[in-house]
Amino acid sequence: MKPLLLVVASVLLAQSANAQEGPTLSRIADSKSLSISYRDSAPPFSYLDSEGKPVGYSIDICSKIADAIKKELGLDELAIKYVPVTAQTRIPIIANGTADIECAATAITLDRFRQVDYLFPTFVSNARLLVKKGSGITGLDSTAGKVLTTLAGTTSERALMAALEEKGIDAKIVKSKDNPQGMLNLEQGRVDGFFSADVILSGVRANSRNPDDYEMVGESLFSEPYAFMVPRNDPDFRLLANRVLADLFSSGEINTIYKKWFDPGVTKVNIPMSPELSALISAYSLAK
Amino acid sequence: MNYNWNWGVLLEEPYPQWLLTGFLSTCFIAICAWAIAFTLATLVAVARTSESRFWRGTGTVYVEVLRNIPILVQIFIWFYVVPELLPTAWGDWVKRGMPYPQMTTAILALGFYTGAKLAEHFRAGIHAAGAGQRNAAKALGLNAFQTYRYILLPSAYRIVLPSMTSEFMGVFKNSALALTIGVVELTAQANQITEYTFQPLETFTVATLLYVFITLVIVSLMTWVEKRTRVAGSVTRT
Repeated sequence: MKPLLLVVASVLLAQSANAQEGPTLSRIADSKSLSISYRDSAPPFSYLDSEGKPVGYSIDICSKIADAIKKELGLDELAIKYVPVTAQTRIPIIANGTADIECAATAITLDRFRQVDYLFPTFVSNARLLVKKGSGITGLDSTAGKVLTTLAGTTSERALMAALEEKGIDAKIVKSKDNPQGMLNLEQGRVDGFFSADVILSGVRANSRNPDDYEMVGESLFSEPYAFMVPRNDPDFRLLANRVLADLFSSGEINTIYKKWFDPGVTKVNIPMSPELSALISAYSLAK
Repeated sequence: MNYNWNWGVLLEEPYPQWLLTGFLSTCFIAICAWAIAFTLATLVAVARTSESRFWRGTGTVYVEVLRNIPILVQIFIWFYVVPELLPTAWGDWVKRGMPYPQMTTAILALGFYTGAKLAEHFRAGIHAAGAGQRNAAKALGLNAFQTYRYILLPSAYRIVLPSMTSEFMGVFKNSALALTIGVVELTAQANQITEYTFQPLETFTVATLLYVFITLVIVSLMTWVEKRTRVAGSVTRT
């Protein structure tokens, strides 16, 4: 046991020594490179294209931020390093400085502010239910006695359980590990409905064998904003990045980027801009 | 590192409860799978050392197929492919009717896989017990069942106890793969707590310690079994 503890302790000490390093911008200036973490299967926010290059709505916005950093620091060139992350690794990767910014699709929750800071929100998702056509399910109210699936550990899961309890609906919940698996469970008839964010459901439906056999039903149960994560307590970096976002919002350039990826978008997600997102965008079109 | 350590978060409701249920699921899956594996492995090892060419062949095919396919792939095949190959009514029962479809599938898949690996240990044990023992049993007039039951298997189990311990630990660690089909065991609960709290380092440290705890318990248990079942004079200790 003792040697094990020593190893753990030395690793922790070594990492806290790194914490003395300056804020994000000086690190970028020193290394002349920006590290962007991304999810490799979160279309259309970030995913790998056929050449294995990260692309997507979030990646496009991040490249604008990279341009602004390059200009602000007066660098001749700024190398961009992409770091793939998973739901479990995305926080430590930002916290320990491996990546400077996460350009993917992470929902903002209050608890998460204990570890990271967020930029202005760039998307708003609405949670819906995906069912087989002709299943007779028209919304959460008609799911009594049915089996539903949702991704384990997501904010959707929390919302679904709360809603079922509040409405007194007796539906069984089966957990899925990731989005393709949730869709597979629906396709194979293991579950009657897949509850998740509309943008995720559109994506998995578009990639399923028979997209026309499935439909999204019911009212949106809850909506939540997505935003990029940046290291905590680094106001200079955050301001620089938020400035870029506010510019994109007020110039209307965000609409072009949004249309490119979502409406209908190269991945066929087909989600027109929601009223919630347009309201956020006009609210965050801040004056200089 | 710009990380906010917060060990207290793991004591906030409902997280201790989650860790506990995850821990119990892991133990439940592993122990059930081990029971299946032990029974199967005994049967297969007997088949592989029997005098019948047919049974030897069947045993060999089982072992080679099951231990050569990665366990993750096997879990997916049992869960997603096999139900589709069954007649519709059966398939529907497997998917919906049977109690806890995910957990049941995971236990069976893990049991079959571990059984194949364990069977090889048992076979080695039976060989180590020696042809002399087998012939002596025959000479005494014992039939095949009696030979295995009273002579060969009791020796074989004792001989392979140390390597059995590794397989027993392996089944606990492999049980984490059950999360890939949606079973919420210890690792899955740790993932889930991470998503809720954004405190992955604390959560996974605790999960790791729980796994270490399990393996330490197994080591002590097996050491005790080894002492209890030792036949005087059969094993030389230095």
